[in-house]
Amino acid sequence: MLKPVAAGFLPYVAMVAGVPFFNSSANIGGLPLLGLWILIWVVATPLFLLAAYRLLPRAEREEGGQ
Amino acid sequence: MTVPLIITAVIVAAAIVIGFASRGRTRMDLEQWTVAGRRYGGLLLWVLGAGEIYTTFTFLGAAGYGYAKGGPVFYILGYGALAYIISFFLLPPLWRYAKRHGLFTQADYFTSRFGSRWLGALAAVIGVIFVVPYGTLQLEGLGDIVTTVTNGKVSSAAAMVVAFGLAALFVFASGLRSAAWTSVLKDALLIIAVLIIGIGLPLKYFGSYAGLISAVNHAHPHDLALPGSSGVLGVPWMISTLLLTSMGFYMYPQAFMATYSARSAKAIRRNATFLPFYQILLLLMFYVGFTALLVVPGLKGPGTNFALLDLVKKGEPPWITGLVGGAGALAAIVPGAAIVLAAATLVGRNIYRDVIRPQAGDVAVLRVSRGFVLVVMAASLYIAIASPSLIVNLLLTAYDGVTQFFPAIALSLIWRRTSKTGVAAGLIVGVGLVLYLVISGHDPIWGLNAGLVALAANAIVTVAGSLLVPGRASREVMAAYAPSTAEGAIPRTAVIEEDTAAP
Repeated sequence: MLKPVAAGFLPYVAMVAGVPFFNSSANIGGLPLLGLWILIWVVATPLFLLAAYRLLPRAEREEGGQ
Repeated sequence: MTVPLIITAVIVAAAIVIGFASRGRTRMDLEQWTVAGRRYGGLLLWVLGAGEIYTTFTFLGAAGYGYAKGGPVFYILGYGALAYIISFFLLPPLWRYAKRHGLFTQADYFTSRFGSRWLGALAAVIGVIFVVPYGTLQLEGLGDIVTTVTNGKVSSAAAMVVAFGLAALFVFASGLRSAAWTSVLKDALLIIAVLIIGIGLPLKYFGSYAGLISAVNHAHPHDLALPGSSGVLGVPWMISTLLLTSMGFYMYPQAFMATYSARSAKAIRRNATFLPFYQILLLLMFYVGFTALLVVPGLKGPGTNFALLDLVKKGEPPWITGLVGGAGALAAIVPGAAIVLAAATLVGRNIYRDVIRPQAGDVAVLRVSRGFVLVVMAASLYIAIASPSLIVNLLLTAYDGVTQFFPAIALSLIWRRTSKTGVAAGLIVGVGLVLYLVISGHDPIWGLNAGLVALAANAIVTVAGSLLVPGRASREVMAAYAPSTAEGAIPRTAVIEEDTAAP
């Protein structure tokens, strides 16, 4: 379970750890830099969760016959 | 101002009809009423999740918080996505456990996993204490919306009593189904309303989002970064709040319970994967809040809740005001319904049955829970009418409280020795600290969200208590978290092998 957890939590760690470094109101194409930083990781989260799903052990993926 | 009133009233009436009709031909037993027979996948699970999560707080609170605080509002954009990441790993094992043990409520999990009715009752009491303010929040949101869109023609109290009186009745009749089906209408309208005003209003006044942000930066330099306009919500607050709220997200009794309604673990994971896209709508609400800051300046305190509605009335035609009013009202009614259902079931099952009348069967529990739907709603109405307050602060207090369930639940999945002694001590310390810190005005404390400080103390006590008096969950108990290829049909030995392979 280590690999899927690492893939899934990457955007979590990145978003939170980046806050001190991207804390600025500079206007980047209609968003303050702080907002843009958070938005990037929100949008990236589904991609990382899809990757995490593929890395799950077989039993976790093939459950319930669906 | 009769057009907005009529449109809002029609939308609310439609939701109430759907709420009653959602029962269909189903015979209501406890499992149908509380977790809709554990049959939801795809769209209904998605809207039920979104229905409970994206509430009046999303609608009025996000715009109002952006208006009042500036940059700190971006935590609201981030925490949902972080919560879905946690849920992707946390909820599937909990769902399997709940299905195999026939659980209905969040407190049932504590009773079952730690083998203690008293611990279940403690969890139920804590759940009810914190979920009622959250329900009250929904009521107040609805009252604010209706009063504003009708220019005060309909009083806030009258709107609350009518809308939530009827909501209590449809919950009584249809249970969780009413929340899921009304949520279909609510999400459709909410998305349309958010798109219309979130794109329309900023562009109307500022030409582009870039123009809006430049104008805010010019008028309020640096307020769109931390610590924002209040000056106290800095980087440590932001980080601690993201951590706290992402852990607490699914700890609300109604959100936890809605998870049980899933058809499969896979459906839960698919939901977690795609719900982050819903967060993007919140960004549009921040833009509305920032627009309001410049166009309708000077709102203070609880008045910032009205930032969005004031701006909509000023800048949009009456029918859009009505649509926004109706969508906003549903964003209060749907979660309100789910909250009342969860609170009533906690009382019926985990306090009435587990502690007062252990011999009560499912039929009696259903009857008592239904009675408590009416009691909890009446209590919420009383609190909402007697003492209105700023939406976001109320939410944060409730949030700090329910998050205290997180250490026990997360540890119980991976550590057999997590014990009822440790969990009870941790919960009492965590909840006690939250109440003390928030009520005595120490939030944030040392620049950190007070709820996270309480959570850390709670986790330490839970672990220490479990080391001193270890729990002894059997291999079978731990195996209930593990997947099986054919749900429920797998031979016991195979389940145990899965367990030893798990981390």
